[in-house]
Amino acid sequence: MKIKKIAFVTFVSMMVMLTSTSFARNDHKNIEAVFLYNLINYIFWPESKQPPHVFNICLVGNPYIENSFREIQKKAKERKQVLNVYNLTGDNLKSIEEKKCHILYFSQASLQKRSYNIDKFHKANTLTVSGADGFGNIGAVELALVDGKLKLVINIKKVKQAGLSVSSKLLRLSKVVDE
Amino acid sequence: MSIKTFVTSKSIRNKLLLITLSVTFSALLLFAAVQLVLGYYYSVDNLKRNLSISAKTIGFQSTASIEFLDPHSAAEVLSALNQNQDVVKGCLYDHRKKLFASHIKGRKTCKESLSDYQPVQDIIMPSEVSVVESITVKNSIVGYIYLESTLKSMLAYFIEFMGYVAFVLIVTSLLSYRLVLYLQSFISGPVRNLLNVINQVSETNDYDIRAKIMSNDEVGDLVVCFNNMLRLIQIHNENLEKEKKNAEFANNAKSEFLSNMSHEIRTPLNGIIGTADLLLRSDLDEEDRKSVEVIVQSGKSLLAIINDVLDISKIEAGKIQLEVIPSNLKDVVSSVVAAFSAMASSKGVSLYTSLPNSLPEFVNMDETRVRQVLSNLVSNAVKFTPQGEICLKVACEKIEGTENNFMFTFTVSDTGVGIDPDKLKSIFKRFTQEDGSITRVYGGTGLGLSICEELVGLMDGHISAESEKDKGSSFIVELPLKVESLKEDKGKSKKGQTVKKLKVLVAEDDLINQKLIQRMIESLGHQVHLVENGFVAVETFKENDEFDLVLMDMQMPVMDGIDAAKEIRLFEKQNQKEEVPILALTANALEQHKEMCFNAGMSGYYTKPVTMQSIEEMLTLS
Repeated sequence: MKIKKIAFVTFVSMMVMLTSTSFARNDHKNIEAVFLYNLINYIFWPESKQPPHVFNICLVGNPYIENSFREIQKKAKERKQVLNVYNLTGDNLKSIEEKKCHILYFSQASLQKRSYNIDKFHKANTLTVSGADGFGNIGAVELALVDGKLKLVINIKKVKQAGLSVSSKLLRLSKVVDE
Repeated sequence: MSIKTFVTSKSIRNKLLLITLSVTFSALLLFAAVQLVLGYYYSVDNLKRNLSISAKTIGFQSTASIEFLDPHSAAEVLSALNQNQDVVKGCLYDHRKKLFASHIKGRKTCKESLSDYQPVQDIIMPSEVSVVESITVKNSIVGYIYLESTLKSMLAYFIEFMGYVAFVLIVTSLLSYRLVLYLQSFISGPVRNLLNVINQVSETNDYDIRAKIMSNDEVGDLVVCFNNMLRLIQIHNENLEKEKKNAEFANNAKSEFLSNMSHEIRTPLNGIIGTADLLLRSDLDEEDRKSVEVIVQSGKSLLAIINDVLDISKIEAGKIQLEVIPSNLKDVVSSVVAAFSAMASSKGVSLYTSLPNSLPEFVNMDETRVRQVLSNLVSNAVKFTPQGEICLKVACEKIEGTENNFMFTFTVSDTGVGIDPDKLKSIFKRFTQEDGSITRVYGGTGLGLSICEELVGLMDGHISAESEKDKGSSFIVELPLKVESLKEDKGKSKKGQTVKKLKVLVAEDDLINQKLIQRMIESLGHQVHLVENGFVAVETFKENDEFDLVLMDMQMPVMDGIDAAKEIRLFEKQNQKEEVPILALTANALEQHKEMCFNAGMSGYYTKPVTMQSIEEMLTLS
């Protein structure tokens, strides 16, 4: 009986932990999605990325973010912006160039599964973003988790390499890497 | 003191200064007040505008911080508000109006929700101002910023501004004062000049002076008019001067005529009355005595008329001067009654006095004039009372607040024919009697009561009458007189019986009068030396120093009585002789003649016609 009781409590506790972890992860992903959208307003793309009110966000290996974008798209509509979100996996990755992505987001898992030639994307005037640790050294923007909060790490060299420029307002609140 | 009184009491110069400065100062003050009020509201508005700009700038700089959920960097942006000392509170809110970041000074705090702020009411003097601005990205509100500022700097600027305004006000007022002081002289200068000329004319009576025309304005016109007026006054004065000379000449002629007439009438009257008087003292039968008495009475009536006419003439000329000396009032009243008692008793009318026991003996008064007034009233009473009685009543009452001043009331009441009440007032007018029939029945000139009223008026008194037709009249004279506490005999010190035989030098040019006076004096047992003019009189006096008395006529050929008296007095002085009394005995009855006599050193003054009584009095005085 006691064993049953302990087993029940342990199960409930594990379920609660799993649920809360799941919620926390979900909230975290929502914020990442918001950050990805907000980056649109502080990164300046070259004129070749016209029309200016249409923005393409390409997601590599992260279904949660894709779901989070439903609310954000409503907000973008209010701002008279057209926000296209593409989830790219496997073969779709070849069509990055076709999608003319303004922002290319890599999930941590997708980067662990496979290695990408990140600089190749930079040549297509694409801002590369990821929440993976140390992405700031190879990509343009890293969404780093510091003390439970998301902080931006911007590799200014990669940004320039992508032919983009960053708003000073964004730089002021970001950690800037120049290597 | 009211403003009107204050302004009107000032000179034109000060009025101009006051008006100009008050207008200038009021205008400046109003301008400064408007400047201050408008400046204040403009400054508040400007402060709000600047605060709004600051809010928008900070908000714009904070968009990334809000969107990337970085309150720390937002606070850094807000810290830029440190540059503005007046901003005490900067609060950043997210799009849900929840506090996102804040920057505060002192004990200020930001509210947790923007909705917690109450809308600020527009008040006249707010202690602080605040603005709320929305923060947008691509026209979408991402947050709000709330800034609050004090008015310290603005008020400091304002105080400085007020200082400048006060300085400008003072400097402008001083400049205005100097300017007005200079400019007002163009207005007040000619007025002052005119005023000086007016004063000069008033002081010197020189109407040849003319004011200088200093301006071509209304004051200039005033000066022209004033000069014209001076010219007209000058012409008018010249005419008046001529008229005055003519009037003086006419007046002198009139006085001369009166004097001469008085002299010419009195001289024969002297003869008539004096001679008749002497006759009455001789043995006459009853019929002759009555005839002589008629002569005396007629002469005296004629004399009274002449005296009345002379008195009226003196009153008109204002030449009557009162001789106020201590006099025995009882004696005066008694003598008046005694003078008319014979006439009254002859008509069967009882004439008596009613004097209170407390009646003061000596009072300061002009005895002659009081006697004249009372005599006139008693004379009228006797004249108009066919039967019954006449009473001269005297009463006196102390005037309150004075030591020795009494109000004496003399009432002459009779049971005579009376006067119609309607005509009571008119009887005091000259040449007026109750009606024409009075003159026909009783005679008289109608001057007596008029003279009485004038004399009583001169003595600050009042005369009135009460009467009832056919029942009698009362004439009331009220005189304020001062009582003197003198002993008996003060007023008649020189009176006494003459026992010594006197040697009298009489200077008289009229032969009838010479004889008359000689007979009168000799009838009293004295010796007379007659001379025909002043020169002989002086020579006789120098040659013979035994004269006890000199009777001197005034108007005489060769040398008049005035010069003769002067010569005699000079002779006595040079020879250190005792002064012999010189009495003027003259038909010149005017006041000025009396004065001339005394100035020449004479001791007394008697007017013609002379009676035995007056001769006796003269000899007594010697």
